[in-house]
Amino acid sequence: MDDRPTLQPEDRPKVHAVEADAPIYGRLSSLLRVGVGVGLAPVAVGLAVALVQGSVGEAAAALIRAGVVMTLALPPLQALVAALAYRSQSNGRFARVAGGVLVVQLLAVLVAWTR
Amino acid sequence: MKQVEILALTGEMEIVTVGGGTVLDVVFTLWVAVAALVGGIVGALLGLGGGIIIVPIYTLALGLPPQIAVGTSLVAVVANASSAATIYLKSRLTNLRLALILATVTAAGSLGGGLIGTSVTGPFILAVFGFVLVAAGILMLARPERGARTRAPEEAGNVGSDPLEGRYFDPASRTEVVYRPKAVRSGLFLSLLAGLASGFLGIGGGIIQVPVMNLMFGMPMKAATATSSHIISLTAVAGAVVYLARGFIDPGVTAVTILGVFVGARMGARLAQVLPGALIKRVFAVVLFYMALRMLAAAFGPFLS
Repeated sequence: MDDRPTLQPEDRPKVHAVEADAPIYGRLSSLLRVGVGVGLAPVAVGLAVALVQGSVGEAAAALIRAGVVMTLALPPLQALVAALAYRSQSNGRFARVAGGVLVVQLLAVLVAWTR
Repeated sequence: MKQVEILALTGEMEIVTVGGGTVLDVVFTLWVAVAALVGGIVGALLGLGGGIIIVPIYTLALGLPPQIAVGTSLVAVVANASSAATIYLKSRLTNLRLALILATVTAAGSLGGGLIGTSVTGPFILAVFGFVLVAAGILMLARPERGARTRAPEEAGNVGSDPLEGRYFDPASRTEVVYRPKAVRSGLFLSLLAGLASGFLGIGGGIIQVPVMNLMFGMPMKAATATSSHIISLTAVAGAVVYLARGFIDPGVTAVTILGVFVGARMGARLAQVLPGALIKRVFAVVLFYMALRMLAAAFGPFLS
């Protein structure tokens, strides 16, 4: 039988929020860096195609739209990653807050296309 | 493809299409690129998203319909804020927990702003924008920045007792800065207003969020700017999708704007290191007042003549 004393919440070593969240900062930073690049690449290619053709044809417009959609997908993805990361840290409070941001973002998409 | 009615620089309206696509008018495209570049540079110099410069130039100088200017600006704001947030997260300047709390109400405001902005007339948007520019100019001249309530780590005590406590290393002063945001609940309403302004006017909302965090929450300016940038990277999308769904985002104009603002923001960040900040703020306060007058004249002109 384990006779070690149970650690009470108030006895636990205090960890600063920024230190506790360090892995989340790293994950979000990487996500945003890659995401911005992935979103801007088709926009740049689409613009180049449009400049060569002299008009924003269907191919160029499709590329630019894809880039715009990928760029706009970044914020919900960011909220989702933050929510999952806080949940994996058993930080239910901020997992719910990040989840709340995600819900509002998804609600915006729903309202935008249905109203 | 949604065709943009381009009010050419000469003042003539023309809709130019070839094979289902909008013709890229070279002069018009160059002007959009220059405006986006200037918006990015000025935005970075003043710590703003750039929308507060882009929307007036697009509507006043390029003659784009206000909703197209706002929608385009919002997409550029999302891309630019996401890029800036990467840097701020790396340096730990961002207070992520606070950003998430404020983002819930700011995103809701941005959605509301987008719904209002796509339902009202262009002159109404111009009028509100004009008044916001006056307020922004006054804020810049007043320089209401104040030193934050910070403490050295060894003086902080009860480390970790406040889940919103922020901590970062400031290379300028070579000290570790520790701060605790105060009165966050009372700032939620102002964050909602910042979101409304963002979705309605195509701006990030930093013009409201940064002073709130600095003056009301007692956060250091650097942390306030970084946290505001992160909030914008999460919330401007709520307004942007409304404009996208209602066809107010033109692919050609948007592509030039996103890339122009992106490049301009990088140039601005470098310029900010060598240009005197106080002088920049005064000069651009005058520019904002001028643009405000033009916006108000464009909004109320038809009623006065």
